[in-house]
Amino acid sequence: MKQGNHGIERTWPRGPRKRAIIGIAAVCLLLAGLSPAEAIPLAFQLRPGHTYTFEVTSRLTSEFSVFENRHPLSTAATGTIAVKVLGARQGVFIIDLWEGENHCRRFLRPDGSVVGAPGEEARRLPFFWTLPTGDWQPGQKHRVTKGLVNDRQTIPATWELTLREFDAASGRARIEVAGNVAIPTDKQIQRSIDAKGTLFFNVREGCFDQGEWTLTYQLAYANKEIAVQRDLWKIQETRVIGFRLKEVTYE
Amino acid sequence: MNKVTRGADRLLAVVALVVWLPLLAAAQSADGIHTPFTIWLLNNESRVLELLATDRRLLDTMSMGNGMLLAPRPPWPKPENRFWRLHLKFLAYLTEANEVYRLARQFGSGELARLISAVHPGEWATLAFRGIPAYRACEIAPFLNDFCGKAYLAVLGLDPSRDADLAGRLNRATRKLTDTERRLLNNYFGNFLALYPTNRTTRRLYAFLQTGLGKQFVQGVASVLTAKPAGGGDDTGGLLAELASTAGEAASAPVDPALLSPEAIPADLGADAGPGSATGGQESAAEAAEVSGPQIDIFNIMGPEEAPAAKTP
Repeated sequence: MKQGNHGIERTWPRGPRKRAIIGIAAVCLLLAGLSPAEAIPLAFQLRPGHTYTFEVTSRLTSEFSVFENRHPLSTAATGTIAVKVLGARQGVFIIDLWEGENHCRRFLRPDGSVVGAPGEEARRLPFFWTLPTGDWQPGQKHRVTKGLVNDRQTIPATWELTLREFDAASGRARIEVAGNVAIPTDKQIQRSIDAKGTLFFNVREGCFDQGEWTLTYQLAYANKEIAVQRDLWKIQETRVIGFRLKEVTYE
Repeated sequence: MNKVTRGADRLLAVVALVVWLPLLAAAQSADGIHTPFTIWLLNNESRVLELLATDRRLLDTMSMGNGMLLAPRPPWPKPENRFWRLHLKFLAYLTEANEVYRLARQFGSGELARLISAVHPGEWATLAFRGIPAYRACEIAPFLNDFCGKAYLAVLGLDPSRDADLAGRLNRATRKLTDTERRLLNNYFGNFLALYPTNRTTRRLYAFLQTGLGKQFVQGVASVLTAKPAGGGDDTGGLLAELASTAGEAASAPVDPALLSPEAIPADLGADAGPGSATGGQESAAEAAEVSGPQIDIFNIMGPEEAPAAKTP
C-alpha cells in the first residue's frame, strides 16, 4: 500500500464505479438543462417623447356558398401607424395613435390594458390582451376574458397568451396567442369565431414588436321545419392581421 | 219579352263585372302565388343579414388585441351581396310570373272576351243623348265603345302591348336568368317544398314555372285585348232599338253565378294542364291531401316563426 501525507493515498475510482459517477453527473446536468428557465417579467416600458412606427397589414378572404355555388372575395390592406408617447403619469402611458388622418388617444397601462380612450366609443373598442403581472414562466398560460356587448346580449370572449420562449440575446419573448368568442349556436345556425397566432414582445423596446394572428369565422345557416332540416347558406371569413415595429424615433 | 230579359241580364252582368273584376285585380296584385316563397327567402336573408352584422362587429372587436395599435379597417368584401342581388332578380322574375299567372287565370278562359263582345257601352251611353238624332248617336257610339273598352282594360291592369302574348312575356322574364341562376332558384324551391310540402301555393307556382303557360290561356287573354262589340257599327241601330225597348224594364233577372265564380276559371294554367289533364289531376290530389297546419303570419319578417302560410292567396 502506498502512503501519502496522511499515510493514505487517494485515488480516482476506476472501472464500473467511475462510469456510475459519470452517469449520475450527466443525468444531473441533463435535469439542470430541462429545469424551468428563468421567469421573465414582461411589461410595456414606453419611452416618453419617442414615436413608435408600426406597419400593420390585414388580408381578408370571404366566401359565400349556397348549394354548389361559391363566391369567394379577398382584399388586403397595409397601413402605417405612428404611436407617439406623450408621457407617463402614475404608471399609465399617454399615447397618440396616428394612421394617416385618423387619430385617437389612449391611456395604456404597463400590462397592455387600455384604461381610457377619449374620442373612441367604449363599446367599439377592440378586446385587448394584457400581460400577466410579475414573473411569467415559459409554457405558462395567461388568460384574459371579457364580455363583449352585442345588441341584445353579452358574449364571453377569451384571449389566451402562452409564453413559449425568451431569447435573451435579442431580448424577445415569443408568445402564442389564441382567441375565442363563444357565440350562441344551435342546430340551424352554427357559427364560430376563433383566433390563433404568434406575438413577439421586445423587452428592450418595451412593447410588442411583431405579431400575426388569424381570425376565422364560420356561419352555417339552415332551415328546420318539424323533422326536416335543409342547409341553405355558408359563409367563411378569414382575417390575417399582422404588425411589425419599423422604427423608434425621438423628436 | 225575351229581348227585354236578355237585355236586363246583360246589364246586370256588365255592372257586376265592372265592379267585381277591378276589385279582384287590386286584391290579387298585393298577394300572389309567389308570396310564401318570396317571404321565406326574404326572411332568411333578413336573419343572415342580422347575424352577419353582429358577428362582423365581434370580428372587428377581435381584430386588434394590441392596445398600442389601431385595427385596420379596409372596406371588407361582402360576397353575399352578389347573392342578394341575384335574389332581387328572382323576386322580379317571380313577380312577373305571378302577374302572368294572375292574368291567365282571370282572363284566360275567354269569358270576359265574349262578354265584352256582347256589351255595347257606347250605345248605352248614347241612349241618354236626348235631342241628338239617331244617326249622330250611331256615329258617336263606336268611339265610346273603343274608349270604354280601353279604359276598362286599363282598370283591369291589362296592357295590349305587353299582355297580347303572355307566353312571350313569361319567356322574356325567364330568359333574364342564366342556367346557373335557374338551377339555384330550383334548388331554393326544392328546399322550400321539402320544408313545407303542404304549401300548395308554392307547389303550383313551381309547376307553373316548370311547365309554362298553356296556349288556350294565352289566346284567352289575347282575345280579351282584341275583343270588340259584336257587329260593330253596322248593328248599332238595331241594338239601340233593342236597348231602347228594354230601358224601361226592371233589371230583376239574376246573374248566372257560374259566370262570376272563381271556379269558372281554370285551376291550373300549365301548358299540359287543360281541364282534366294529368297535371291538373295531380294538383287536385295534392290539394285534397293537404293537411291544415297552424296559421302563420307570413309577413312577420323578423318573427320567431318563419314558415309561410299554407293558405292560398
